[in-house]
Amino acid sequence: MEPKTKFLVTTPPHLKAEESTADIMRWVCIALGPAFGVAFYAFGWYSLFLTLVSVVTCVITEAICQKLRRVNVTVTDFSAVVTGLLLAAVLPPNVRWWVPVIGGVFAIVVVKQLFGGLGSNIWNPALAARAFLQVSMPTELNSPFWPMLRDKGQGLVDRLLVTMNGSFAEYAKYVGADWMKHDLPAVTTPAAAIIQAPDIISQATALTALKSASVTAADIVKDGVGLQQILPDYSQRVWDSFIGLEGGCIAEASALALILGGILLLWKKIITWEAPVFYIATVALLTWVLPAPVKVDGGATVYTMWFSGPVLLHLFGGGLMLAAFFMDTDYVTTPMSRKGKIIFAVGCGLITAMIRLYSSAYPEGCCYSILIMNTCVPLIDSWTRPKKFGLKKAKA
Amino acid sequence: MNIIVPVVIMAIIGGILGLVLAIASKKFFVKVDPRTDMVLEALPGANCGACGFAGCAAYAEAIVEKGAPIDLCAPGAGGVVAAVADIMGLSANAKEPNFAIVRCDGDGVRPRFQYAGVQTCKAATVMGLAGSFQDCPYGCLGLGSCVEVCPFGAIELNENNVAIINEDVCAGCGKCIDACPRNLIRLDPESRVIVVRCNNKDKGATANKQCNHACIACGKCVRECPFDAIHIENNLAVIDYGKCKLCGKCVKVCPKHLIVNLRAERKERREARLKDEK
Amino acid sequence: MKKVFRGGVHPHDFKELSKDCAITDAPVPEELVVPLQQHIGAPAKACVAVGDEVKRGQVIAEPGGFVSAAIHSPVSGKVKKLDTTLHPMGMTCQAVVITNDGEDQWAEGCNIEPDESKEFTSEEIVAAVKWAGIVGMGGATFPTHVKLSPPPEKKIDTVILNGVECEPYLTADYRLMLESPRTICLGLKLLKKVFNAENAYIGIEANKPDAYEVIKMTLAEMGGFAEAVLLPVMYPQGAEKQLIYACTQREVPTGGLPMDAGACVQNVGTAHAIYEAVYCKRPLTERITTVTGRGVSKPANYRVRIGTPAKSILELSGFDEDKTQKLIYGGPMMGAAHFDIELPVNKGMSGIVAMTDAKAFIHGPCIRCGRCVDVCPAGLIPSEYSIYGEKGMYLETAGIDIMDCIECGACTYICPARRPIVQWIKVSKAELAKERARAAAAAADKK
Repeated sequence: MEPKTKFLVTTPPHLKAEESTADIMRWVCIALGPAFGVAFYAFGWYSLFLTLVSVVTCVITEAICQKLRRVNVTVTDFSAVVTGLLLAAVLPPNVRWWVPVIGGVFAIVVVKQLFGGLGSNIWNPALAARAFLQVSMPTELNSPFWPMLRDKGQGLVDRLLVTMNGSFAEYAKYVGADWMKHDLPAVTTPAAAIIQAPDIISQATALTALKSASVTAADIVKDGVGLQQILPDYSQRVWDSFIGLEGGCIAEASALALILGGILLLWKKIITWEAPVFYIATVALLTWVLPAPVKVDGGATVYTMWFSGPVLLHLFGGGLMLAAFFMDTDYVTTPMSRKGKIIFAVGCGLITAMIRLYSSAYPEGCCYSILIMNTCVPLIDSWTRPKKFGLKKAKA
Repeated sequence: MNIIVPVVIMAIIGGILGLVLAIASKKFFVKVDPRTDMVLEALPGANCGACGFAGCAAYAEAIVEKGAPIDLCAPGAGGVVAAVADIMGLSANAKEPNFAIVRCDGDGVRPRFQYAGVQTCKAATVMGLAGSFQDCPYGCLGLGSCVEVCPFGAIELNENNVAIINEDVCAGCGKCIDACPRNLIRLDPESRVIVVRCNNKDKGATANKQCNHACIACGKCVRECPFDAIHIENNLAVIDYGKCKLCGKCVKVCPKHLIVNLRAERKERREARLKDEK
Repeated sequence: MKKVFRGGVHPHDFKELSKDCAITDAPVPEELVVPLQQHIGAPAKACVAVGDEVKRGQVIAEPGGFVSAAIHSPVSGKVKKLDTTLHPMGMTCQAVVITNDGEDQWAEGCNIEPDESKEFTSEEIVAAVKWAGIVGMGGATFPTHVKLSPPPEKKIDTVILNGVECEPYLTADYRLMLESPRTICLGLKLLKKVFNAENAYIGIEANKPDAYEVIKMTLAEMGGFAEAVLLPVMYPQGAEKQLIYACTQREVPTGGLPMDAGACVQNVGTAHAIYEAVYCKRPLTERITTVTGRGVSKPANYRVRIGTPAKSILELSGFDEDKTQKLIYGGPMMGAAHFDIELPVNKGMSGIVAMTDAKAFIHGPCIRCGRCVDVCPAGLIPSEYSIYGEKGMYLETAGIDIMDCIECGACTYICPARRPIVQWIKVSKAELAKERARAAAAAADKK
């Protein structure tokens, strides 16, 4: 029925801050832009295809779930898009197309909607999906990553041509052919020739190299082994990881691009500084101070020296920047108070460093550390309730 | 060959655990009075909580173990009480079923403003919300909080956005009473068929302006009543059911048709339903 | 600047619309509707009958209890009828309708020439305040004489005047501070006298530097009995407890009143009214009201008689009813939206805002962003109240300090999911009050 007056009546306040949930989610998408830009440029169009598959899967699944739950369909709030992007971000760029589909459906249905949808999930959907994929199809995810196109003197235009004209076709050929073996395709097109010009070999990521490094007995000095013996090209690898020439998951490639995105989020006040700073600082401190085990000639174990860990490689090499700026700042699955965020971040840093240094299998620890700390969030929240105004005793 | 070792180990573990379970089920067996299940079976199973216990199972247990009164179940008045009495071997005083009635028959006066915010009746009556949506500050708000709490789906909003009770489904549990911030819903026994369907306590002239179906305290019903059972209190006709003989004379004289005879309404509804079925 | 409360938000203040408009006298209408509920507490009881001649300043309604205030005729004229009117907060209340005879004659003994050299005792001041029917004029409308009569065991050593005016849009207090700093400071002096207080402050937000300078100068001229305090711009800086903290670094204990921190806070408008009541024997019959918002073409600050229908001053300011989407009595953060443009101006109506860009939001789920926690000046977790409220679990909020909420609206302002947190808090508080009443009744029954 048409009201008598057209005046709107609500309870106060009658002013509202501009920023909405959708705005926040959009800014997160924008902040992921540089990282994905580097990924598309470096890994070629197939990574873009995987990203699109992941996003579309998440959005459609969310819409279907909400229809089935008979609640409002809220895919326009971009939260499913963010989940899709983050899932693609932590997938290797050479998985087959149905991997993000399975991951996306798991993230939205099991992790998000079954717990009540946006705001009610306990774990970060993208990371939980990544962990799910990791245990259910390890070969698919742990196959050596498609390496970056190392710049061998081609100009920027050439490289763009490669990625635009050539590489998707070549990647597609891979999909059809013996994808898992990473055999080199026959050189048929000029573009493919350029792809093959760089050293396309099944190459380990920096952190995997670190983990599987082996030294000879001769390298052992009195206090242990030094960094030089483990990873002779350490500084080159750090630089590659920083700007995005090292292989890795789709959006983890360039630490620089991720830091730029993180700074954008900090500047727009979407995230606060506590979580990323304390997370990165904890990992840096622990990986610098603690000795890590190294195999001698693939046999006995020795430890590296104290206070000499490969800090920079730990910071830029894996998914730490992505996790620090985009995963442990996720609103829903992290504590609400500033103090809680610090506890959460330090916990994540601790677990990440422990997994990276002392686990026998996993070179990367960000995913599990955040999932474990997600589980502790209600506990942290109840420890860190803000101090109520009016409890301070008046000075006598 | 390798597969045999784990298979054997699993078999042994399974056997041990099975044994433990078997022993535990014997040792920690809790004797349940079979009547509890029978009583639970007899109860309506709506878990409405009208009895004051946390659901039907809790009530069944209370009846059997603690001797709780058997006539607390509102939805199951009558039949259920008899059934429970039968199981428990007690004598049953058949209780008259109650129905909820909504004491408002708003004629859909236009809302006064656009409302945005929490769409529940309680939230819409907080301070600072310009009183009420309609001109009548006593009437049904039409946001359907009672519809939502009804465990039986017995309440709906009519074309004027006023809650109406479907007495065929209403079990008289009274959950809706608490949901209504205007205190419009009351539980009445089935036989109490004459009700005043208005709660407007403003003076006649004001009430008349507020709603076409408002009690204007004209007093015609008071004068008509041969039993002195109806009075004007706070500008509202109120029936004293201690004196009311349900003669229905007041129903005929009410100029606003607010005093209604539920028996007639029920009959009408039944006929309408029969027509529908044909 | 002093240390201020934790939290707060920065809405755009829109004060530029009306801050340069000097206070003008609004024309007195032919007919005034004086509500009998213009304060917190018991409504006043009318003591005039239809047809009575009344003079300006004559008591037309006696206080209905201790926490209540007298109401005086704002004009001279005749009582036309006793009627009801709507209160901005939504309830219906009794009102005295007075026809203005245009003479504007003061009642006997009222409106005398002020003699500022005269000294008053504490009792005289409180009696004058009670006689004049003064209430908190910032919008809370708590009867002032009650605040001025604390129980003897509470020693009040600090008097604070609230010139913060942190509500966006409103400029009534600002104009008053600029135009009559002297009466405000004399009012403060009277307040200081009432308690024999050691300290006196006037808190002013940093977005009003000129008002700060004027007040500071006036205080210096009067011998510096009080300190003007410049406070950072932050909503809700003007909330009582937060202002006390900013001026004295004392926290009002939770569940306590300002007097528990040895402080008494009054609005600058109240101080002006106290001056008028004590020195000039003028009861409270007019106030400064800002009419502003994009829905009026000429925003202004009016000195307007109590009981003037809002419509008349809105029209004076070029009110565009078609453009306006939301009409707010009071400030936009805590004031009440209303559908009626004819509500009479009351003692607490610091402004009327006609908003043209009001949106009806549909709220989403809480995304736990923690912004409400960051901005809450009371150190609470507002999102919890919204989640309990959404589920209808109102009574559960008692365990998480809901009674410490001051309903400033900062959480609801900042919430990106557009959740009406304040509304749920209001419902929960109301339900808790009902539950308490029920428990009390049950306890009484047992006895």
